[in-house]
Parts: sequence; structure tokens; C-alpha cells
Amino acid sequence: MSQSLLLTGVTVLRQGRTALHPLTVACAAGTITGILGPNGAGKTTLLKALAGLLPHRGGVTLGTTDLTALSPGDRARLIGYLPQDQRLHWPLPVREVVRLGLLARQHRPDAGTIVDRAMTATDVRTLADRPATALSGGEQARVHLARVLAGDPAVILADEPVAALDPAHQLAVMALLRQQAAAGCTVVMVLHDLTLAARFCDQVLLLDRGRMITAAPPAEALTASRLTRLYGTCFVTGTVAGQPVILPVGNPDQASSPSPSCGRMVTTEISASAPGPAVTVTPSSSMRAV
Amino acid sequence: MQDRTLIFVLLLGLLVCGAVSLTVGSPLPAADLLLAAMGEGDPRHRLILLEIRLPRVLLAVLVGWALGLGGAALQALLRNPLAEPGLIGVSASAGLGAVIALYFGLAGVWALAPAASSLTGAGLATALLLTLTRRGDTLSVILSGIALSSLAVALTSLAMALAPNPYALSEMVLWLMGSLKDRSLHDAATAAPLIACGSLLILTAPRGLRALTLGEDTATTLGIRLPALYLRVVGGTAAMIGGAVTVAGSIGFVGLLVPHLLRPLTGHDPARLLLPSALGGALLVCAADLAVRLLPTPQELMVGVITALIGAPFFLLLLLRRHLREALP
Repeated sequence: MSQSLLLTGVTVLRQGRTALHPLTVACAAGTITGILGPNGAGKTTLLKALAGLLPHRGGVTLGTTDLTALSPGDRARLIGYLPQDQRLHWPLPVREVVRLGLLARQHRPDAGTIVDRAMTATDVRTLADRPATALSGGEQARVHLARVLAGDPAVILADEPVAALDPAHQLAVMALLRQQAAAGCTVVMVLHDLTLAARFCDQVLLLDRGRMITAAPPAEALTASRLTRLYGTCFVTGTVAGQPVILPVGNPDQASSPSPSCGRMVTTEISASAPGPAVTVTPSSSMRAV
Repeated sequence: MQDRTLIFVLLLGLLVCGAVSLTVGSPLPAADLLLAAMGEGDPRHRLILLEIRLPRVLLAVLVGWALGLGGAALQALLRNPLAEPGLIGVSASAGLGAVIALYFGLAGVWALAPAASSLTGAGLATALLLTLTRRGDTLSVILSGIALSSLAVALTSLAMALAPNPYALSEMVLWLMGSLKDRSLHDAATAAPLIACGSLLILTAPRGLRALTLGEDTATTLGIRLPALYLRVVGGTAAMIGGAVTVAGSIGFVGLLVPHLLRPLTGHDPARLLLPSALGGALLVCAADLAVRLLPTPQELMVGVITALIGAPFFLLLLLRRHLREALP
């Protein structure tokens, strides 16, 4: 199952306009690739093209399999897709929603076990008989993730899987995706949260106005200066409790015309020990400049 | 409720309703009816049973099946509990076809002219609808349906306004109101193949309809070919409704009410709802037709009037109950 996803010159045209310029990148098996960039950069367009939802040029291969040549059914057996809009149109019970993940597979006698396992993995088994539409946003996100896991895909494509979740659920969902990657799955996701990207992604693909800026490990790709140029606002990067943190600090005056100091990478090492009062960071002179 | 239990209960209800329908009317002893059913006994009894009552029951079952299944399929396809067969404009176009035949007095030349013309109307509307909805998305189905429906209704009104004589006008009105009276086995034979083909197209598409619960994008990534699914369900519904309207006129509210009533009993699963909804539609139209025959009115009521008279307030009651339940703490 461990196969790399290779995109070669992937281009998307929408209404005669180039929505995504030729893009070549490899996503190794067992890794998470985060697609980041400002609104309108083409993140969802890229993900939809990979999912087979948008016509595109260029090659997309998984190992030796050319995904663009596959029938929708064969493609569905390899790719699990988590859309941004996870609305359910009918109040199906959670178990049935998760079972939809097996739709592309042949009828399997052990379907019940697979569904139970996926629900256990995402901690929704106790909700199995409840209508999925009556659940909270966090619970629904986990149900949809369980649906994708039930299909046992080689590639998971997720469009902002943590957008509507509280911090604890954001971490839980990211950890689950991390777990899937560890099991050999190739995960590609659109993200807005730079800190989560820095912490959980193995590779970050930065997009701007339909063009790829870079594809590199987070530490290399998510530099304060690059982010400042990309988003037009100032960032602070650092580590807290050994985890990377990237904060947009904004500076209305400088955002429109960044000064030389804006965007400088400022690393602040803060070690959080036992739970106690909130850590207050006093900006240093260089941070004020940012 | 288990699907099997629900289907069994609906089938049982349908059998009982059909059997009662066959026996209701001028009193015939059960023994005579049985003899007539076996092709023996008094030829008049045979005539009553096989030429008058049986076609009526058969048509009620066929038309109800088409409306119930068509409603459930369209609601699943468009993911909207308010969708119904009338929405796609095929019933209105079939009605227009029949009205044109009546306008030109073709019924006097050939008795089957209104049915043939109605079928042509349904066929043309279906072809147009399928061309317009080839891409496979909800909005184009709804918009094309509304446009087709409005055009057909406007042309029907025009034909009625310019009706050559009051007799033709009354024929048109009665035809449009929907009835199963004075139909023959020939009518059933006209509608049956269309309804059978439509049913086959729809009942073999449960995976796609279930996947659409997750929306069009996700359904596509689950391996569903949406354009093919839309063609299949819209085409199947159009064939069934065209056949049903051709022989019975337009009977409203069945396609809306029946899926709505049965949905909670099938776990809100759009695929599991298909067969029960077809049987429920058949049962409802059969029961409504029985009611119009039993009601002591000076002139027999139209079955379409009864389904709307029962259906609309019942539907309102359901909505009211849901609102009350949601409003209560």
C-alpha cells in the first residue's frame, strides 16, 4: 500500500482561466503534505483535481498507477476524500454514514467489523445509532473521518479537516491523520493553521495565486519572511514546549508595505512546565519590529 | 422497523385494499366473483370483474407505485424532501399532450388519441429534460423542470381558454383532474411497460442515491458517476410519470406525501425508502380510489381530488407537529 503520490505538471483551467499553473511535487507514502496559502491561492482547486472532481492536465500517479486513467470506482478504492462541506442531507445514523466509506468496495462479509473498527479509531462508536446530523461539529468531523478510514484508502485528501473544530478536537483529528500516515497512507490536506502545519506536516506546499511557491519540510518552508510576503501580514515563529508555533501578529501599518524588519524570523524559546499561570511573553526589541 | 416487516405490512395492506376494491360495488356474492375470476359463471359478472373492477385496481396500483417511487427517487436525487414528480414538468407536459388531442377533437376519431398524444408530450418533455440535465446537477434539474412545467401549464390554459366547445373544455378539465374511472385493461397495458422500465432504472440505482447523502462531490469520490445517475433517475421517473399521467391524468400529493411518511421507518436511508415508497404509493392511490367509489356523492369524485384533500392537510399536520416538537424545550 505504501506508494508515493507524484504530481507532474498538474494544471487546472477554470472557465478559460488558469486556476492552477503547472505544479510538480511528490508526496511520499507515510507522510502528511499540507497545502497552505492565502484565500484564492488554489488550495481547494488542487485538492479537488487530485480527487478527480476537476478536470486537469498533467500526470497524477500513485506508485506505478496512473490515477488519471482509472475509472471512478477504481479511483474511489485508492482515495479517501474529506470535503470542506461535510453537510449530510439526510439524518442517517452514524454507523450508516461510516458504512458509506465501503461503497466503492465489493460487498464484504466483515463490513460490520470494519465499520466498528473505524468508529472505535475516531472515538464515535458510542454514537453509532444516533442521527449523525444531531451531533456537534467535532463529532461530525470524526464521523466523516471514520467514513474515510473505513474505506482503507492509500491516499487521504482532506480539505480543511479541522476548520470547524475546537483546539482539543483539532489536535485529535490531526493525531489520527498522523496515525494513518504512520500506517503507510499518503495524506494531503488543505490547512490554514500554520502552527498545526508546522507541527504535523512532513511537507508543506505553499501556493499563491495558483502558483507553487515552494514544497519543503515546514521548518524550511514556513519562514517568517516568506509568510509575511505571502500573506501580507507579519508573523512570529517560535517553539513552545518543544512544539513549533507560528503566529500572525499583524501590523496594519507595515502589512501593506512591509519594512525590512517585518518578517524577520524571531525564535522565542518558551518552556512550559507544570500547569500554572499563563506564560506572558514580553516582546523583545526585535519582536516589536515584527 | 425492519425493512422486511414494513414491506410485508404494505403488501398486506395493498392486497386487502385490492381485494376489497374488487368486491365493492353492485353486490355480487363471493362465490360468483370467484367463478368470474376463473372465467366461468355469468358472463355479466365476468364483465363487471374483469372489464370494470380489475383494470381500475390494477391502474391504481400501477399509478400509485409510479408516483410513490418517483417521489422517493427525486427526493433522494435532489436531496430535498419537497421534491415530487410534478416538479420535473413531465406530468404537465403529458397533460398538455392530452389537452391538445381533446382540443382538436381527435378523441372522436381515435379513442386512444389523448393517451397517445399525452405519451408524446411526456416523451418530448423527457428528451428535453435529459438534454438540459445531462451535466448532472440539482439546479439544472429543478430549473429545467420549472421552465418545462410552466410552459406546459401555460399552453394547457391557452388550449382551454380557446376550447372549441364546452364539451371539449369539460373533457379537458376532467382529464386533468385525474381519475381511474372507466379505464380498460388496455390502459393498464399502455402504462405497465413504461412504469416497469422506469422502476427498473430507479430500483437498480440505490448505491448512487445513498451516496448522494454526502453531497455531489463526495459521492463522486466514492465512485458514483453523477451524470449517469441523473440520467437514470430523471429518465426513469419521467418514463413512469409519463405512463401514469397518460392513463390516469395528474394525481397530486402522492409523490410528496408517501416518501415523507415512510422515511422515518426506513432510517432516513434514501435507498431503503424506494421500495416501501412504491408500495405505499400503490396502497394510497388504491385506498383513495376505493374511497371515491364508496363516498355517497351525486357524481363520483376524482381520485386526484381525494389524494390532495387527504394529503395536503395531513402534510400540514406533519409539519405542524414537527414545528411543535422542535419548539418545545
